[in-house]
Amino acid sequence: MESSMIEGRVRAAILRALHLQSSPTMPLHMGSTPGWDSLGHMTVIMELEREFGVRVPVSRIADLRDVTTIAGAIASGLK
Amino acid sequence: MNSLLTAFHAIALEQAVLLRTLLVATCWTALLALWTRPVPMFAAAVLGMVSAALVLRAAFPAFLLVNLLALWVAHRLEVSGHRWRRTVVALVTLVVLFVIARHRGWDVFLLKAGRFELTLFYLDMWMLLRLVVLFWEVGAGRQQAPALVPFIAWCTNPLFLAGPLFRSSRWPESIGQRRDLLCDAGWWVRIGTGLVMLAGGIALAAVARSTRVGAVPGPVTKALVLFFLGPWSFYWTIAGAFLFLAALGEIHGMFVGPSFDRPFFQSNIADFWARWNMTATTVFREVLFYNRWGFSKFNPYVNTMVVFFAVGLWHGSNLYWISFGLLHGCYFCAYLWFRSWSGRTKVAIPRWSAVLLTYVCVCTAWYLPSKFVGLLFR
Repeated sequence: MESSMIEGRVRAAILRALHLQSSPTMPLHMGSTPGWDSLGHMTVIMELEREFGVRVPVSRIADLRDVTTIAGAIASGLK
Repeated sequence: MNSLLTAFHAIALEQAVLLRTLLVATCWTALLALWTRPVPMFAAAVLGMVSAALVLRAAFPAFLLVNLLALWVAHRLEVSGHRWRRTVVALVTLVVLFVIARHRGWDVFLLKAGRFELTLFYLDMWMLLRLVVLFWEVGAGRQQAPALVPFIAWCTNPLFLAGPLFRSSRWPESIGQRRDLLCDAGWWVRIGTGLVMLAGGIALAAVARSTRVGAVPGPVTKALVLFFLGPWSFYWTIAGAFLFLAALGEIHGMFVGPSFDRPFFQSNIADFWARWNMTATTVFREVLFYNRWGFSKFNPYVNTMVVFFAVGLWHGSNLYWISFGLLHGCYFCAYLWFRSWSGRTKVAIPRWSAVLLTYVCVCTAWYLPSKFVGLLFR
C-alpha cells in the first residue's frame, strides 16, 4: 500500500474517532488537535486498529502522536 | 507562637529526607560543575554513591543491591527470546515486591550490631518508578540495557533520588557543565521560585499543624486546613523541591521537564492530573492506561480505575491511599462519562463552576479517605 494512501486512511480514521469535520489542511497531532488528548488517544488507537485490522502493542501507543508516525508504523507492520 | 514554632520543628523533622536530598543534590551539582575537566562517568557514579549513602544511610547497601539486581534483570530481558512476555513478568514481580515490602515494612527492618545498622531491603516509590520505566523501555526495545557505570551514576544521582523521574534512556552520554547558566537570570528565577515555594509549603504545613495543637479546631479552621493549608502546603513543598532539582539538573545537561504546571484551578479532573506530578503520571498513563481489554465502550473506565488503584498503592499499601486512588478513579470516570455525554448533547457548564467543582473534588480526595478509614475501624 502506498504511504500516501495509508496516510489518507489514518487521517480519516482519526477524524472519525474525534468526531471532527474533514479538512485537508487541519494538522492532526496529539495535544494540538481538539479532543486528541491522552483520553482521546485511546479512542484514536482503537479506531486505527479497527480500520487497519492490526493490534498496536501497548508499548508503542504513546509514541504514535501524529499522522506521519502512525502511517510509518502501520506501513512497517508496527514492528 | 510557641505552638507554631513546635509545628515548624515537627514539619522540618518530617521533611528531613527531602531537605537532606536537596542539600546533597546541591553539593553534587556544585562539585561536578567546579570540576576543571570533562567529568568522567566513573566520577559521577562514585559521587552519586556517596550522595545516595548520605541520603539513605542504613538503607544504602540494600538500595544498591536491589538496583544492581534490576540491572541484571534488564540485561537478561535484552537477550531473552520472549522479551515482552518476560518484561511483563519482571514488571509484575517488581510491583508485587514493592507492595508487600511496604505493607510489611521491610524497608524499615533494621539489622543492628552495636551502633551499626543495616536495612535488609529497599524499594521506595521513586525507585520503583525508575525501574519500571527501565524494564518497560528495555522490554519494548526503546533502549538498550545500560552499562554498569552509567547505570550506577543514574540510579544514585541525588537530583532524582526522591523524584522527579528522570528516565535511564535520557541519561546523557557525558556529564555536561553548563556554567554559563550561572549568569542566566531565567535559571536563577527557577532556582529562586523553587526555594520560595518550598519554604512557603513548609510554612503552610506548620500553620496547619499548629491548628491541631490545643483546643479542638472549629469548622472554619477545619475548612481552612481542608481547602487551603493542606493542599497548598503539599503542592508548594513538592513542586518547589522538584523545580529546584530540575534547575540543578540543567547544569549537567539533564532536562527532566516540568513536574507541575499550575494543577489547581483546572476545569476538570483530567486536566488536574495532566498537570500534577507529570513525570510520574506519564508512566502510569503509558504502562496502564493504554491497555485494551477487548471492550471498546468500557475500556477507558476500567483502565481509569486500574490506573488510580495503582496510583493509590504507589503512595502507600494501606486503606487510606487505596481509597484515595479509587476516589480519584471515580471522579475521573464521572468526568469521562460527562465528557462523552456533553460531546453528544453539546451541553456545557460555566467554567467557574467546573473549576470550583474540580478544586473541591481534589481537596476532599485527601480528606474523605481518612474519614472512611476512621469509620471502618471505629
